[in-house]
Amino acid sequence: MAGRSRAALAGAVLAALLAGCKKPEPIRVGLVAGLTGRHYDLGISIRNGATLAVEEVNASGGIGGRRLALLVRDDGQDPAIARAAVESLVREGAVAIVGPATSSMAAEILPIADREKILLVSPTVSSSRFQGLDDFLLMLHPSTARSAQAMSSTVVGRGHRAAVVFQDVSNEVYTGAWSGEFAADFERRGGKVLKRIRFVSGKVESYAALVKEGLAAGPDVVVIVANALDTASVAQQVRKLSPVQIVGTEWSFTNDLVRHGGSAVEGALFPVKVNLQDVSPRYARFREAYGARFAKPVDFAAVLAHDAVTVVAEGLRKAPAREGLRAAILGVGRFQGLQGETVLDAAGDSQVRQLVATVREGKQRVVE
Amino acid sequence: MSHRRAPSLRLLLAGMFVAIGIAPTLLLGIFAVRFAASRVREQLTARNEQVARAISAELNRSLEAQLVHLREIALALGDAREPPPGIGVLLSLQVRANDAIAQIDVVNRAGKVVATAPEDPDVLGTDLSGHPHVREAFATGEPTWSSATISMRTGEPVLTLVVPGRSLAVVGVVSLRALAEIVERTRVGIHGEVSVIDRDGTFIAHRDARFVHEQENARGLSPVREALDGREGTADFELEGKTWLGSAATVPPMGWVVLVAEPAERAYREVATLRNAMLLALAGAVLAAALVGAASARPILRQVEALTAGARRIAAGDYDRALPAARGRGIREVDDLAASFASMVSAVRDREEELARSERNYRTIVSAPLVGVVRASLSGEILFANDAFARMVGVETGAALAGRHAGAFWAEPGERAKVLERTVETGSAVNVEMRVRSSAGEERHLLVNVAREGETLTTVAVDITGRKKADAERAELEHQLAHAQRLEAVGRLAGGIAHDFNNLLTAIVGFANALRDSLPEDHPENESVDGILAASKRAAQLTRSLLAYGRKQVLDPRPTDVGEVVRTVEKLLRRVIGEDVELSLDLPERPLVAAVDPGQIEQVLVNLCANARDAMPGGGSLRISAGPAEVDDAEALRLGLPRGGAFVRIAVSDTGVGMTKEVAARVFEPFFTTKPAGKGTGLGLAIVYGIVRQHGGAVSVKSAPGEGTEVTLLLRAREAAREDALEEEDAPPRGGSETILLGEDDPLVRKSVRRALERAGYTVIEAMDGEDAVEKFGANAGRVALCLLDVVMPRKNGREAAEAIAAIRPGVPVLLASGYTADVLEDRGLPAGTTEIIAKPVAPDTLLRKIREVIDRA
Repeated sequence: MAGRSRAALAGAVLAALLAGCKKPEPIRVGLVAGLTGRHYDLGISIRNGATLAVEEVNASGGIGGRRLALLVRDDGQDPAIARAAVESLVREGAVAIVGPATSSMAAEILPIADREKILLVSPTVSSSRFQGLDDFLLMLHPSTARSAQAMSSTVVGRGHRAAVVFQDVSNEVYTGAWSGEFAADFERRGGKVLKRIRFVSGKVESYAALVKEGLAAGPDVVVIVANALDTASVAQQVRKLSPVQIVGTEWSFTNDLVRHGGSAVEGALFPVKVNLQDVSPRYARFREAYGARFAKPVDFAAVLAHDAVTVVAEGLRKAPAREGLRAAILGVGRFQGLQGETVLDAAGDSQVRQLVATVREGKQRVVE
Repeated sequence: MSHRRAPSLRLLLAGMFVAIGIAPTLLLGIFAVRFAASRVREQLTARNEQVARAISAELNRSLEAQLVHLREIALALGDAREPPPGIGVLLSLQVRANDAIAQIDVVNRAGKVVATAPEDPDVLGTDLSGHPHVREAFATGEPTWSSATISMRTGEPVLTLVVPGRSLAVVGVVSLRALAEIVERTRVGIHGEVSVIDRDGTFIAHRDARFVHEQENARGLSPVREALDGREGTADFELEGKTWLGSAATVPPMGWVVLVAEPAERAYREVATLRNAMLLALAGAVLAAALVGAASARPILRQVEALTAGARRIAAGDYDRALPAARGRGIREVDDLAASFASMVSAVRDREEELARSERNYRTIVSAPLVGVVRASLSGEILFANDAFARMVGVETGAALAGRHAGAFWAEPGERAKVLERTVETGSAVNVEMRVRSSAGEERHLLVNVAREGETLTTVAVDITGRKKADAERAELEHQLAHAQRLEAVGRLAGGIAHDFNNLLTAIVGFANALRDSLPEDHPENESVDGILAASKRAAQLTRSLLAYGRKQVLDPRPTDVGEVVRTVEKLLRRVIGEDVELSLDLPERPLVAAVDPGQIEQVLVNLCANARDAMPGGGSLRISAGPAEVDDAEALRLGLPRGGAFVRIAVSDTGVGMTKEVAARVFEPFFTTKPAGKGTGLGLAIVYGIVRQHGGAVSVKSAPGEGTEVTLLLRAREAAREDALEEEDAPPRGGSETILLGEDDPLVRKSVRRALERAGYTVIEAMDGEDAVEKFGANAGRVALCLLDVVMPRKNGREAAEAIAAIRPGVPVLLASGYTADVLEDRGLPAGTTEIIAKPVAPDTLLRKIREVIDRA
């Protein structure tokens, strides 16, 4: 009795001395996007927007007292790396994944996500191929169909009837769908796609030769379905030869487009969801914070990535675990994004407005 | 007992020792760890900042070299608006000569590439105006560095260095590989990391190329942020879940930052070792202190535990083993405590024994079944009651009374209120008689003493119900006795007068008879003599009545069937009661034998019937019943009988007007009558009473107004006597020739009796008193056949004389004549069989018959 009480006393004293203040385990949220390679710009914006959103959530006390930890994985736009990234995030206990950035990567990792029942909340994936499926992919970006149709409608409205399409097949899932939707709508409206030029990003010998071939068909509109760097490169070559109207996709409408495209992308048209000149206080605060944090202008991917984290965080407040998170998010359905409400349908696809933007004096501006 | 227990001495002492043991170690340890940590940090900071500055200087030199190359080209271009011919060769030479430069373009102010090396038609003509640093270089005229960007050609991260001229600018694409090499080369500690961050906060060199390729932003790291804002220094930061100690130095022309970081865990490894050693020491100190504390508590504890055990034994009542003998050396204070404890134990034991004794005394007193004790509050709530009190109020135990209201038991609330008032005023109430009523309704008398002590009243009650009852009974008995004595006195008076009057009458009748005998039949005075005799006869009747009441008449008791007596007088009774009253008899068939004088009993019945008739003037029914009756001693006492036993009961009941209780109590008094003057003598029931009492029996009356009257006679039963005892005495008396000694003090009576005897042929020896009778008998003992003695005589009464005579010649027959009661004689115990009694006045025939009978029997 005496010995035991002594031992207990000593134990208690030691335990009191040695035991630290254990912080609650953070809630892990994965992020998978291409941070390197030719599509890096989209991934980096997504990572930055998501990082800022996570920092904001943590600064306001986390989720039920638990911090959010963002586990960032670069998929390098490589299917094997992307799959491994998802597997590792599942192992590390991520409750959801923000990403991927591109539709081709989404096609690769969605089966794993469905199998592991881990939710993918993609800011930028928009291929109509994933539209309306009861899967574990939530898409915050409007579908390719809507943006392609919006662009088709816009250029037809501006009197263009002959188009040449430059398509990067390294992200075929997206670019194929986008190009197909555009072509179908364009031709339905009386236009004609004169030529479709396919290339693989990073493996182009000469953009000048590519463009020369395309322009030879005599288009009054050049449609570039590629990332920012490739769009800028194609546009640079087009402008060397022709003042023809250039149309890009939402994918390419990043900071690097302007940086690398320079005057070549002035006046080009892009379908956007995000109005970077939005003056709502919420967005203005974000833009300011983003600039301070990353010394870069905001682009659409950063905004949507921020929204993606918002969606995940709201869901976690209802169900702070991988199980049930999808149902919780779909149950909530409506989320306050940086630029207004994001509404998810039953399949987890965003139903938002579609805008058309351009570049004027080196700045991205919404025109329609 | 489930309260929070106070800490034990052992735990307290051990705790204190631990606290004392820990405090210095802990303080010293904290100080040492802090001191060491700050020293380590200082050293690391100094070293890392030095490394950072050194790298910064090297970067500066390296980039300065690139700048020099590009400046040379810019100088070569001079003020030209268009690139001079052969510029491509110059550019190619420079690219080839310098590993760090991957590409050199010449742009005009519009941003258009006008020359490029290595040669690439795609690049030529492209617009670089989208690059802000190109615009900035033209605007400022100073060389500018871009932030990390991706080469359009290779897709690799690169930096662009722009050296502006007047119209054209030289744009060098510098590979970040050169930086990476510098970073790779530098080793900081074992796990130190060196990285370079551009002015946007993006990693442009890091040992882990991923940081650069993924354009990881370092602005979130505090030393970097501080340095970008112009404040070089060292700070902790978190990266990828680890804490780092980072020192940052700027690279001035580019505004870049060199970050030298080391994982805090590694940097502070020595500190951690020190801390662990300290904790170990602390644990040791705790353990040692706890052991020492517990050990030093042991002797005190042992004594305290012994005292505790002692206290438990005392609580259990074991005083003898309360304190163990002290073992070895203790602690003075505890020894003192033990000594005090011991004296306390003895004091407590004495007091407890005294208390127990006292308690026993009180308990014995209170629980004795003699006295009821109740304690109640002023408001009446019973606080305590003993069993004796409980039984007084019809409750099983005193405990059952607790909490009930005391007022519930007192029969008269008024009584209680008065007693309470007195008690409250004066402090006590003494010897108050009160009545309580039990729940069953039984009333008891209590003698109560109440005392007030503060807010409680203590009542002591004695049950006096028995005594009250006895008192009442005694009063009743006294009343009855007084009544009986009065009847007795009246009887004695009447009897005395009647006795003397009888003697006179005996003489008158005697002489009148003699005169009648001596006068011839036709003598004119015969009528007067007959008148004298008739009046004498009536006078004799009156005296007989008085004697009967006074129990002074001489009875002739013999075993008699009482039922037969009743049947005999039935006819007479019917005449007495008249035709309006119906007479019924209820008599058993078997004889009801009692030693009675049948004539007297007849008289009793006649008197009772006459009385009943008077009570039923309008007619009614009269019933005479008889039967055996057993009377126990208690009943006997109540009835005034000396003892119980077998009796014959005769009841005479009528359906008349009845009597009040008061009247019934006096009916046996002589001359008490409720009848109008002139009607009735007032002697009827008095005679009944006298006769029955003289027979040793009892008479009682039961009556109520309107409910008739029943008079019950009880006569002591006897064994059935011989049949012949009941025969009629009709035959003329026989005379004899024997000698009879006659003792009679009254000369007239003596003379008349002598004459009657001699006339019947007897020889008479006269004696004037008892003494004389004894002497005469002594002189004539041989020839006296019978002694006839008056009971009341001077010198020696009849009884004494009879005894003396019996002494001279036992067995000689004696006949006592007396006007007094026979039971007096009986009580004196005459020799049975030899002495007979005859009532005075006695008719000559009766006397002669009796004398013959006695002599013949002898």
